[in-house]
Amino acid sequence: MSAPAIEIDNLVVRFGRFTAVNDLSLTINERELFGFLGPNGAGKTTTIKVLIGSQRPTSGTIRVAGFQIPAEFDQVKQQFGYVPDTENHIEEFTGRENLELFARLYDMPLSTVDESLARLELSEAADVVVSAYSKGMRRKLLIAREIMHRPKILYFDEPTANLDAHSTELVRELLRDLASQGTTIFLTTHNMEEVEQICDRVAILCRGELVDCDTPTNFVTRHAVRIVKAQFEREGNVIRESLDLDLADQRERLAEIIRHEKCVRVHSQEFDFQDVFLKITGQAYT
Amino acid sequence: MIRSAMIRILLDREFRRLRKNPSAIMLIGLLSAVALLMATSRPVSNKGDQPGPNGASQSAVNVWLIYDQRSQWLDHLSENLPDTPTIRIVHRDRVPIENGTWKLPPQDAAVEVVYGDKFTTDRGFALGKVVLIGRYPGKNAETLAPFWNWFWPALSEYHTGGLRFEQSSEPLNPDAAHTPTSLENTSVADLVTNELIATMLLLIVIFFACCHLLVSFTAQDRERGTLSAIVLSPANTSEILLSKFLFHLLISFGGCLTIVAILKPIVLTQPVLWLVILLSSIGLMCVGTCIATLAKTQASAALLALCYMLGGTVLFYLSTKFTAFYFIKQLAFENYTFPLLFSTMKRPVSVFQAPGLGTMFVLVGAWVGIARSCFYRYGWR
Repeated sequence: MSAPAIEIDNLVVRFGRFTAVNDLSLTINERELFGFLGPNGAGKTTTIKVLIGSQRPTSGTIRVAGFQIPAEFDQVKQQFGYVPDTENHIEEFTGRENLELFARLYDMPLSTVDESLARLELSEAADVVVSAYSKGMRRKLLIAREIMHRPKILYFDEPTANLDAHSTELVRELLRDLASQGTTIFLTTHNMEEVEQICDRVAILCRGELVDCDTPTNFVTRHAVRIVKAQFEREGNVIRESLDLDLADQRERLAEIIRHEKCVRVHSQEFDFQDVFLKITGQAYT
Repeated sequence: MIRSAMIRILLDREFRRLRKNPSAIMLIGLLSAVALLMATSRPVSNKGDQPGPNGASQSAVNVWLIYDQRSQWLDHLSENLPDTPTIRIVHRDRVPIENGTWKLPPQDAAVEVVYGDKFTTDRGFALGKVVLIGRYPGKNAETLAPFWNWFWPALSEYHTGGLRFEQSSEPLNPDAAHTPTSLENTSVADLVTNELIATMLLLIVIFFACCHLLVSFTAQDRERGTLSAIVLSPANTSEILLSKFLFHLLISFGGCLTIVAILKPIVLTQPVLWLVILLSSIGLMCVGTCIATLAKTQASAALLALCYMLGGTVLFYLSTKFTAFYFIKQLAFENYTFPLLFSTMKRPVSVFQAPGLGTMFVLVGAWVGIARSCFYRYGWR
């Protein structure tokens, strides 16, 4: 078991009477690719803001890379990278100039600028001013900027928002690479497929409270539905039936269909993280 | 801990940004062009220099400023005497008298200082009254115009405090026809001197570079999130704030240097001038930092900066009418900037002679504390 990279204990964040995060406790281990899910307004971004020190918690303790937040902010900020949900480039600068500024601030060799640009496939647009970049290019430039100094912890708010299919795959591959090289990744997203594909563990937050936290596999196991969809032809008509294998009469009905009907298609219903997410958060709402 | 390498990188970023937005400092170029035009063109002839209707030259007179009791404002004026007209500040006992009347050389005029009784204004302000009675040779009161043109701007440098000054004119020889003049019929243009314009230009440059531009750039950084990106880098908040201050200070000094070099190069070597520019620049940068920090957007920050400027002007006006505002004005470092700049524009002033410099230093120091705490708490959050 690796050491915890992020420890959140009883975090509470209130804005006046509104409680954005309520008694959140989480531990994220080193090298872990951790997904943070929740509907809009669940408190995901507020939690990230507390982790990066831009929002003071109302109560609770937070340790990032062994440092207390916000007390040891100056020491901890060099350990992480933060890709916010909105771009914050210097619009008048070119992509390269933006990255060069941060490379100099992090005391990194300027060769890392070209490496990062190449990794996000932005080399050709490196000398174009950012104001002329598309949304996807801006997003990739932001990611390039934040991975440049090889942070120990990387916070991603919606990593693949505004990216096309190719760039999405590129970024997912990059996240896997970074995690395998030792970077702890904490990401928030609404993309369930992404969570299922790349995350080691997922926490679901709803109305500021932690609803569930597990690995995607365990989520599948715990929430899998054993339903078979059968499609068969009778007297020229196509009939569809959905059968729950947990019920004995429906299991027999399935056997009967296979034996006596002219089956066109029989398949099990795939596990859908989206459905699980809606079910969990929906339960929390009721 | 402040690291010079960080300051250099951040300063370089500010200059690069300016290079990409040269129009941001267009106003300084415009003001420099105004200064250049002023320096290279001939002044429009003053009506006071033209011969009067009685044929007497209006600017040829020497003026005797005659007083009964010496006071600080007279001391101040005596330190600021112009080349023309020739003004002698003398006690009443030293004025030659013949047959009970003053015996002045022909063409010489006199301005008599008479202290009136204290009075209370409608607003409950207790003021002392000083009446300056100009006595001119011949029949034309306009002969005293050059004196008044020097007197009022020179007096404006001095904190007259609880004194109200009034001007009246009458002929030296009572038999001559009386052609009164007053401040009301003296053109504003007659009161405006090159030193006054230079001072105003400097004030505009300092306000623009240190308040308006800083507010605009910092608020833009906050709105775009660039500031938070830089704060999350290894650069610490002090380094970020210091680099911003250095950048705007350099622009302010550059603009002031250009204007002073064009209009009044002789005062370039005056340390007090640069000290006042430095203090007022720091003060305004602190005000700008607070505005940029507390405003949510660049547009609201720009509006707040404008309100600050207009609010200051209204405060200065109200301070002449209501005691409460008068005391508030004393707490504004800007209250000391104008007289100090104007003084240094006119003559060499040593640090010890400059009234208000110490107060300004203290007030600016307080603003530095406020701005620092504002930026640390809310600057990027």
